[in-house]
Amino acid sequence: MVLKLKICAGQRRRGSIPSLLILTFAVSLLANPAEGQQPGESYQAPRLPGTQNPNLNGIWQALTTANWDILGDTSQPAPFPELIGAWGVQPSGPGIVEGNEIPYRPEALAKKRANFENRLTIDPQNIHESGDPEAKCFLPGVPRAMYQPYPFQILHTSEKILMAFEFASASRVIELTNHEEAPVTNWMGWSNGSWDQDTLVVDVTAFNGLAWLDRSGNFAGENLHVVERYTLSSPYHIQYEATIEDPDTFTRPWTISFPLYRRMEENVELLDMKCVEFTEDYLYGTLTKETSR
Amino acid sequence: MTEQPRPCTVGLLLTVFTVVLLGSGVILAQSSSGSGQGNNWMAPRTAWGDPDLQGKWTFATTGTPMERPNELGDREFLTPEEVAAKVEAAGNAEAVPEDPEEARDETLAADARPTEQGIFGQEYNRFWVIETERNATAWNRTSLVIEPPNGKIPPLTLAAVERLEQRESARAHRGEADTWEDRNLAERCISPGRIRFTASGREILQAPGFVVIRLDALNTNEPVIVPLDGQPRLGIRRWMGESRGHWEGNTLVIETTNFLGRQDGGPVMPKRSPLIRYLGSGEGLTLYERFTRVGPNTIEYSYTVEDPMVYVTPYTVLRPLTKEADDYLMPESACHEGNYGIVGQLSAARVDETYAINAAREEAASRQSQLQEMKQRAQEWQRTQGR
Repeated sequence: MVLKLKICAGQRRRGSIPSLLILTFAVSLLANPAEGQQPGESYQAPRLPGTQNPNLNGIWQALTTANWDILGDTSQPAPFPELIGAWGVQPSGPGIVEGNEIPYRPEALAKKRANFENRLTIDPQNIHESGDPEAKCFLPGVPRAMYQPYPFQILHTSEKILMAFEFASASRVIELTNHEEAPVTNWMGWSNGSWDQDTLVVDVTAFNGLAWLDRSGNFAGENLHVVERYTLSSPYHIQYEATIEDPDTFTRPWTISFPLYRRMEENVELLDMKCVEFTEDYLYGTLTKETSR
Repeated sequence: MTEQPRPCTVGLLLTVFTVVLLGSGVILAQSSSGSGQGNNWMAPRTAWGDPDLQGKWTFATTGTPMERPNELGDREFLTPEEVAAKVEAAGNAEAVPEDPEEARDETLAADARPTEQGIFGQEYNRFWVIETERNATAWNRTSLVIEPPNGKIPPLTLAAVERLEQRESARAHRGEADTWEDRNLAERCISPGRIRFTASGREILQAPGFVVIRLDALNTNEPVIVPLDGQPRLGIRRWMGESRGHWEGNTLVIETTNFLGRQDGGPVMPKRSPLIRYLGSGEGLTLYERFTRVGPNTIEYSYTVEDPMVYVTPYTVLRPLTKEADDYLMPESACHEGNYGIVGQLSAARVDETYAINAAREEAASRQSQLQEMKQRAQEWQRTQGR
């Protein structure tokens, strides 16, 4: 599948569209006639009015287990099975990392393991020292926001793309024309986007190094550089791919990919997932007055 | 010489004001309130035909108070001479907050107890306050409140006041920071619905079928997503309410209901003055907002608060918005992620309590020797006299 897509991309640059379409169709049939049309091969996405670019507007959601663990893993018990039984169990999943391996430097691997051990440890006087930021209702960062198990809405205008996430009312703005350097580091990074034919390519930098990649303690540092690729591969799918680079943490760049699914319910709408008030006891419970606890 | 017709007089005066204001480094934006009518300016449209409101917008400085001063009664507009005097005074004086809430905050800072002087509303939060020169719009209105006719925010209902009284009783035996619930929503980095029309800045984005208002407030960048396609309401309550919008000519009309009932802070939240930032019960609020672009750099923005559980009548506020340059930054606020304030408040309250308990123990210890001595004397007396 990946190989076929690469052939198509190469053909598209050199050849004429009709020959590309015929070739794509033929390759597709030869590879697996039962599958029919393959996402991304001959699909012509509708354009955003007033532009030549695919219209990415919609409400989307990933369906992976990556928020638990970006690597493939077997099912695991919930953090407190004595309290909540089978609620909150970690489902098994194949992971989203190409080759199912994260090339950590040795000291970074030790930190990842410590993160996992302390994933639900809270020290209110050092709120960033330990614990998964998601449990604290902190902004998820990129790429984690893209595969949290909640919907997000893409509002695609001619000059910017706003992504509004249900979790923690997070958002990010992707500048399509007004590319500038980030003025300051932050949780969600600083995103400049451009089009590589019909693929949106987003360059994300200026992270504060505090976000995690999942509940298993995978992480990146403040020199994280993410390059995302968004390709509308059918009316209902965006194929998402991101290259993750951080020489302080990893020995080489590595890649994640998964599809984003369009939420099709007639009444679908982004609702509140404002979790701050649900974390106050968790974060500050040890600081309350004895008699008020 | 005969007297000039009124419009020309106004035009002449505005020209003079422009010179005065430019000389003092303040830009006079286009006068608001229908000023876009009658000139040749055409409101831009998006590629799909909607009026284009996109950009970053802040409240224009109009020099007009939120509520009308008593002496002006029902008079809606100032005379050109009064406007001229106001503009001149504005050039000489420090900015006066237009928002009565801000004005009350300043009064409170001055009246604060000695231990709190220099802290209230100042400390590190000052970092976030935009100090740059704001665009000034000379305005002849006597108040930002345009309804009811007296230009004042209407009184609270008796039921609302009684609810506030109940809240006061409920916290009679509580300290300033027994738990986080003793602090207000802003300190807890929870943004109440009122932020949507009081945020200092907002970026408007438009996609086919949607308008998005991205807020630039101290504790949120939350985007308010407004569907325009007439989809039915879900009736699921939200902090920012459930918005539905439509176009009336060039005007974007947004009607928002289903605000979350918790947005007034809950049963014990303390307030120095019950009115400050008190929006209402939330449950019964319907918020009507209207955005009309009347010039390249001006949106006429009004909002109507209709909340029969809280205010005896609805009221409407009209405030022009001024377009900011594209490089106006709206940094990620990440308030909760760096909420050292609430940790400090709770920790300080615990330290206070520990101090008080330790002081009581020390005093008790100092009484112990006296008690022992009294006991010895009593026993001695018993031994010598009791037999």
